[in-house]
Amino acid sequence: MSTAIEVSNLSFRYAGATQWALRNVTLSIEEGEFAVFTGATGCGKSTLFKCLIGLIPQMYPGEYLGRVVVKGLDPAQTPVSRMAQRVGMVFQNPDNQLFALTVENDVAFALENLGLERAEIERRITKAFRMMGIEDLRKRSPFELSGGQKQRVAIASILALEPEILILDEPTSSLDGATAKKLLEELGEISKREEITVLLSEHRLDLVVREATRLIVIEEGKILSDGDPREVVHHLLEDDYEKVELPKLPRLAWMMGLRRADKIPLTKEEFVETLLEVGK
Amino acid sequence: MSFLVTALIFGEYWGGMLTVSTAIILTQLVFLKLAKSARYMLSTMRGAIPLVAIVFLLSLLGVLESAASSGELIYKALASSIRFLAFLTSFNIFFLTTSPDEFGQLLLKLKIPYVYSFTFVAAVRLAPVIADEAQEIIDAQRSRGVEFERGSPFRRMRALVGLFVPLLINSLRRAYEMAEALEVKCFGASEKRTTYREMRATGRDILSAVMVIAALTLVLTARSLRLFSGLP
Repeated sequence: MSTAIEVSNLSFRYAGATQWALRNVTLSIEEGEFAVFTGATGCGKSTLFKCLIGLIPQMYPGEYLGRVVVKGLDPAQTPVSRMAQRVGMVFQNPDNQLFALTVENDVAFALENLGLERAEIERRITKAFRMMGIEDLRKRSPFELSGGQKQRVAIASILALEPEILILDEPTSSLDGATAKKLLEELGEISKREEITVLLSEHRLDLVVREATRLIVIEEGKILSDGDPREVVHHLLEDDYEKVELPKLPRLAWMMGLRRADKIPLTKEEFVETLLEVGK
Repeated sequence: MSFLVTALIFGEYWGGMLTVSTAIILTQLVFLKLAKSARYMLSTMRGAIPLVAIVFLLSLLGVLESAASSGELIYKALASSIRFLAFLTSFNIFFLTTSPDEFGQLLLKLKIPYVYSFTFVAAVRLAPVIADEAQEIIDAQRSRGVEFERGSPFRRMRALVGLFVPLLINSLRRAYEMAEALEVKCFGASEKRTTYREMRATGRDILSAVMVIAALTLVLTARSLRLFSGLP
């Protein structure tokens, strides 16, 4: 496995702001990981993501210290449109990301901008539609879609760029729990099947803790905890951390006194297993 | 389109304005009758009555000095109101029959830079989103006791400030978010942008283009021959 993203000592302060949005962030993400970022609103997750694709510092002026390398490119120097062909980014609000008046044209939009041949566009968008399971929406207008469908279209339009890394900034914030869980599960599958490195931010850890291969907690621009989700959850429980809503099953297990470092249960099955073990 | 152009040509020309504008509306009605949707246009026209009335009053004031007799005064005001109605119905038909996507592509074909046609399509795309947002703000303000439909005109205007300021701020934020999304969708990355769905002119398109040009020539010729000057 090689490194997909290498961040060293990154600090950033928006022009005019007194506080640093990121403080000395050092982070390395391997290829194929499904990394979940969490932390209170305004902790710097979005800022970090924008640094990875170069929107910061290219679009937002400010004080930028440290170094970022993504797939061998320096996002601070590489045009965003070139970064975007390797690193796809999906934002929170799908309404601000859909530009065309049919779903099909929207998914084709980025590819048109790149000047690809029609046959290639056709191939890529068909694949993207299949990946997100929205073939039936092709001819529809984005106006008539539900929030979940819009978010799927927004993700498909980025997947059509065939990125090696996919970054999603709170992709489920406007979705209900069940819809969000399904979407996140599918993203987990896509990540494995297509060998795409996924970075996403999520508040509801219950929804992602099974898919995640890595959990990173950010607080006030600093990395508070980073590692295997099980270990990170364990640390947070130990510290009685309250700024993030911890997943319910591990919390319950913790409250019940099932405390063994390697055995914090994340899934129902694990929970039952741990219970039975204690019963013996 | 022909209606639109014809209506525009008569900007500075009084002679025959009434006849031509009425003719435009009637022709449109006949076409729509053929397409079985005349009723829709009639309902639009009914909705436009207050606007037309305003135009009538304004032009009445506007031509007050230049008109020689009261008959001419009424005639001029009436003519401009009917012309306004002709504009309205023409635009109406244009936007009902042409999707903004198609119009954007047409602009592209006419070698107009993509940035402009994109701006147009994006504006149309955003209209309902902003309308939703405005409704949300109105509801929020109402729940705080702001009354948009009561009080003197001055008070109503003041209430609207509470709508437009948040709407403006939201729009600015939205503009930033859209710019980010455009960046990551490689907007403007390639000199030669391609189009996935390309429009091709069919026989019918060419036929209607010929008809438009013919109608335009006819009107222009008639005008230069002063054929309209006798008409009301």
